Amino acid sequence: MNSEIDILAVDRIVAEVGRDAASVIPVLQAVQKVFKYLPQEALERICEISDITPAQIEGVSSFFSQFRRTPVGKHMISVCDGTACHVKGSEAVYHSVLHDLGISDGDTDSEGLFTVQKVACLGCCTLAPAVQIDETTYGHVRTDTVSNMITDFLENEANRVPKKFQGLKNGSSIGEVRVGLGSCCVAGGSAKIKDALEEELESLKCNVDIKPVGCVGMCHRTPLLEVVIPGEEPVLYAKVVPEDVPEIVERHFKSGHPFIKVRHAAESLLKKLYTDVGRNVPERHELNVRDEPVADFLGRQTHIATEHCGVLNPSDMDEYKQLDGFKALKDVFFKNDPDSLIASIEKSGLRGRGGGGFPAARKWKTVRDEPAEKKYIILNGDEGDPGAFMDRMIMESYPHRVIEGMIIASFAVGATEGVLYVRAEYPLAVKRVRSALIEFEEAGFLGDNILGTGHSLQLRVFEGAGAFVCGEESALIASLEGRRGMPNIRPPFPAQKGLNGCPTLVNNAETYSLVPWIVRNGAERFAELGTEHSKGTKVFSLAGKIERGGLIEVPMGITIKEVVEEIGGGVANGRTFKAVQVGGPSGGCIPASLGDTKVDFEALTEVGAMMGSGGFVVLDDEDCMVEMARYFLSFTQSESCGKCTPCRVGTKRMLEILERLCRGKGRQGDIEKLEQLAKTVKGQSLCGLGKTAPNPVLTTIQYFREEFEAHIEGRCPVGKCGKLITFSINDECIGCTKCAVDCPVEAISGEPYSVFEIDAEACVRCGACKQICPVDAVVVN
Amino acid sequence: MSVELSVNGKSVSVESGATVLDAAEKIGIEIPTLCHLKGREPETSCMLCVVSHQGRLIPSCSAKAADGMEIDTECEAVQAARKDILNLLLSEHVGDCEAPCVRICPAGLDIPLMLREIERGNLEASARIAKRDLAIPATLGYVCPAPCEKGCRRGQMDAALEIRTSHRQVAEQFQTLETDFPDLGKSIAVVGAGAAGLSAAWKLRQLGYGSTVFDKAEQAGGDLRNHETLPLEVLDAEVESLRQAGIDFKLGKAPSIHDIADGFAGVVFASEEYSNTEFADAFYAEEHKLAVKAVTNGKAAAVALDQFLRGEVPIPGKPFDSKIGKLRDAELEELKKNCSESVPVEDLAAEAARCLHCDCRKPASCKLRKYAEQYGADQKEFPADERGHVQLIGHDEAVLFEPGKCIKCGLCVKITKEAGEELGLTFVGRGFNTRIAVPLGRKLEEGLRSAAKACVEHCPTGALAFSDSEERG
Repeated sequence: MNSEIDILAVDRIVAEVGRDAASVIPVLQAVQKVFKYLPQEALERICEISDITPAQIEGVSSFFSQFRRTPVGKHMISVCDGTACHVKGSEAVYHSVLHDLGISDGDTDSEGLFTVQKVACLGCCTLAPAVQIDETTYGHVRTDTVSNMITDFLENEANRVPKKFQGLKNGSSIGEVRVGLGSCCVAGGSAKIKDALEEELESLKCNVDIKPVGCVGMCHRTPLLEVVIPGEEPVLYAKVVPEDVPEIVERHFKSGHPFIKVRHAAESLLKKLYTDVGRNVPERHELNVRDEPVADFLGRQTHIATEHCGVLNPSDMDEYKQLDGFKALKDVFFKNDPDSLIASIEKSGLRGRGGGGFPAARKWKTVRDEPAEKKYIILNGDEGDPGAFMDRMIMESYPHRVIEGMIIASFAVGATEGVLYVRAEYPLAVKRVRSALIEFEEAGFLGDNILGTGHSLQLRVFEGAGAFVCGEESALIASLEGRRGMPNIRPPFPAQKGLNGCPTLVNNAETYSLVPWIVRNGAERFAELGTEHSKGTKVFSLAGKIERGGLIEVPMGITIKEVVEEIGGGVANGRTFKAVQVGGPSGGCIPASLGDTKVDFEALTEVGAMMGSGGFVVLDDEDCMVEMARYFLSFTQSESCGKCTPCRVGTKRMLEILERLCRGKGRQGDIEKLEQLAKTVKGQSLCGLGKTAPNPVLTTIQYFREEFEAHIEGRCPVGKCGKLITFSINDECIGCTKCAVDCPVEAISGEPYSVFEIDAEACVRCGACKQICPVDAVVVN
Repeated sequence: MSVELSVNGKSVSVESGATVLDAAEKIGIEIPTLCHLKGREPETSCMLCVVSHQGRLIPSCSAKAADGMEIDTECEAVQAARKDILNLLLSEHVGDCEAPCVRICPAGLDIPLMLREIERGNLEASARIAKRDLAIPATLGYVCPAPCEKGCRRGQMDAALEIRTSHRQVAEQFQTLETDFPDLGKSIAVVGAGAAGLSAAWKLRQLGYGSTVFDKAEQAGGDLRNHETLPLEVLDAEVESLRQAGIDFKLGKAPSIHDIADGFAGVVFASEEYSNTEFADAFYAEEHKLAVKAVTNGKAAAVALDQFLRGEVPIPGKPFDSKIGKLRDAELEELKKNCSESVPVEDLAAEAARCLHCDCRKPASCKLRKYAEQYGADQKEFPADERGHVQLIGHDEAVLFEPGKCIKCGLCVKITKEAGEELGLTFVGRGFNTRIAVPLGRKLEEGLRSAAKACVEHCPTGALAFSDSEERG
């Protein structure tokens, strides 16, 4: 134990954050921020000087994934193991990172520079596989680029010089360059693009505005850059790299000074020559919105929650106001009739977008009708589905809309205090929401007696500390109260008895963000969209083996096939569409044969899946369904809170069987045993996590039973399950060395230009060699 | 305000706010619970108390009773659900209800308790246990092949305990023991004075019957008298002690039907010759070349006869018995915390002190065992790929915590919190890896001060027990 920690820092944190028992999570977060882990002395000190008890601090700090009790390296490398990353090889990337850092034991390298961990989901599914080092996210990481990624991080770390584009104050702007600054775009490198733009515009003395915008949804082509010149058609560039910037600027904004222009042209040529050498440049295109694929991608969508996507600056409240922001809020205040507001929400048919699809108006009405002195409102932004990032994107790109929706809802139900519960893994969302709150307060939209209406609302941000189960309302509330995130039996529902025992309205970001639109455009218009019982739109994160992944908002009732083929452009790399995993760990795998299934709460439930929070991960013929079932169950099993027996033990036993199947150690009767356990876990678990955890397993058995049977016989039909297969190199090998370079565990050896060999013992069966081999010499047995 | 509902077709009215469990209890319907403590806020963790409400399973400990509810606490779905819960809990239960030595001993000698009495110096008490369970413990001490010692877990480590020598020595030392049996005013005839007959007669005496043993041989003992290694004076002394305990011996003449019918409430045939005799109220105890088996048969016949006379329906099978299986080396080391490290020794007490105490400390009060028995649970239904680890925490303190037996119900966490323990107990970790511990890595006794007794008392399994507790059902 490190006995030389700065105990005064702990005292300061407790004084700042709070001494009450409910402050335990924020206090621990602050302590961890200082020490990078939770030193024992710090925990003891907290107990000494606050109302937080040792039992509470031990229970809470060991419950949430965010907290670490052992020292860590200087930098934290988080390898995303979300669904999209998983199907795109995150396991191999993980091994590669460990190998690159020479870590064979534990999770930290010998110099104490890096600690490596797997995380459930970074919410950058379209950049899969994604890796986060401290606050920098790298997308499309491959085993052979891991080393470059780490070098790049260290170089940037060393040269971190803040630069600021001042802009030109004289004369009017001749145009605007929009840069996507959603997490995907940032991870794709948009911050660097912005830097390059600033530098370029500065050197050219161009009077052009650089405008950060929220997510455009086309995350498969990040980073995106759009040039808008008054009177001209806007031009969108996708997959831009900093080196492209001078050319783009040159093309659209010719400088008035001929000399600068010439010098610039020469320089950019030189730059290109230098920078492109040996660089692994991904394809990049100029992309006009009228191009067919883009038109398809965006054309089938209906933007309500994501209204003004790609236009709206997420940090600009004035612009939000110009684009109809606060109209709904003012209208609601003006009418001053909460009952008819709820009636209107009812008429719109709005159902909660967090997973269960509970009618929003009914929940609102329950809270409104509860006689209580105090009522709360909560934004459930603890999106934990490992294949979904809708709420992250909505909070990042439309923080004002979400909060406006919350204020309207708080007015409807009579809540005067509230919390925005946002996953700590979404730092950008936390930052944007926090700054939006300040703007709201300054503008008088939050606080006491808002706009003189008599309605008051205080909102604060709470960072979720990493527990999927906290997406469950009662578990979320438990964690807000400083307890372990363990759910309670319902009823009483949080709407009756929630935070601190008071009636509490809990909705997710997407639900709140739909509210202003409904108020502005009328319930009827919302209800016109969708199916009989599922109205409006649904935001999905479209990811996995898809040509064009991203964040999409589609009208309810669209079919799965339409989403995959028309919006997503079909399965990537010419493979065959096999299934789509909808609803994440609570949902199910819907086979391609049921592609006509509509996106509708009931229709999805009928085929064994569920809407869930909106993960939409496409699987192709190379994906093993037994392995998928194992993957999802390993997620829910590790996220089970451990309270009730069926979920705590049942999911473990189910996982053991699935792991056995994937190892080729299946036994006759395993499928039936899985079904029997699934029935118990589904039927007798306390909360939604357990009640839905078996869904991915049951649907894969239902639709792909033959794959389970094959595994019992020791075969993996698609050759994916590591322990059931071996890799070898045949005589076709040309000795190009690519596989040896790519292998994350150095299991491949040989002389250049001769046939290489794979050491079966060392091989982790990641398949990286097979992917990279130019002559298909790597065979799977 | 009150609400009206029906439980198993009976209507009941309870105060609004009462639970379904409260309602059932009010009309005498018992619902099994593990994590529930009456009068406290429900935990809703074990899920054993599920009942059926409109075809849905709900936990009765926390589901509020509501008007018009129709609750079924016994339907097939409920029974199956409870059994599943128990099977899941047992799949991660690392503990033996009974020690392997007892499990193997056909006569069911309470070996662990006998050894502990020896260890504590209570030789007479240990002799009583041996006598009670074996009828002729000294004799068996010479002739028994001692299967118990093959089951002894200590054998895996260095050498099994010398159990047979132990019961022989204490029995020889305390040949004559004061007895105080109940008197039912009935007598039973036992035909055959071999090991089975002697054992039957002895068991009947313990149950309160008078018993008379008939044999055509001049001396009691049957085939035991031909045993090469058995000193006959040992056998004769034990027969004498049985006689002193009130057993009547009629030897030297084969009994007639009248001899065994007149004045006897029943008869036990413990002789080959009578194995085909048709006789009302007769029970048969087969002699066996393995004497301990014969003793077992005699005991079983006596018990069966007793049940018959009482008009009780015999309960088939043995009580539920959770089994760990073979121990890992590290687990043996862990269990060594319970005992002395010495190698086999001459001294009786020192030898007994080598016992690993692998039997459970709460075999009688364990609710998990009780319900496992009641619902016919099967520990092998959902086998674990890898079972948990045997672990003893606080072995040198008053309270012993065995995490392998913990069902994570959370009662102790709640009790220590309510009692205002400074440290108390808490959940550590999440999901399947959740465990109970004293916070901040402190010792068990630091966490359990004022609440120790309540925690042990309410712990539904043997996970929390007083180190020196003895429970025998």
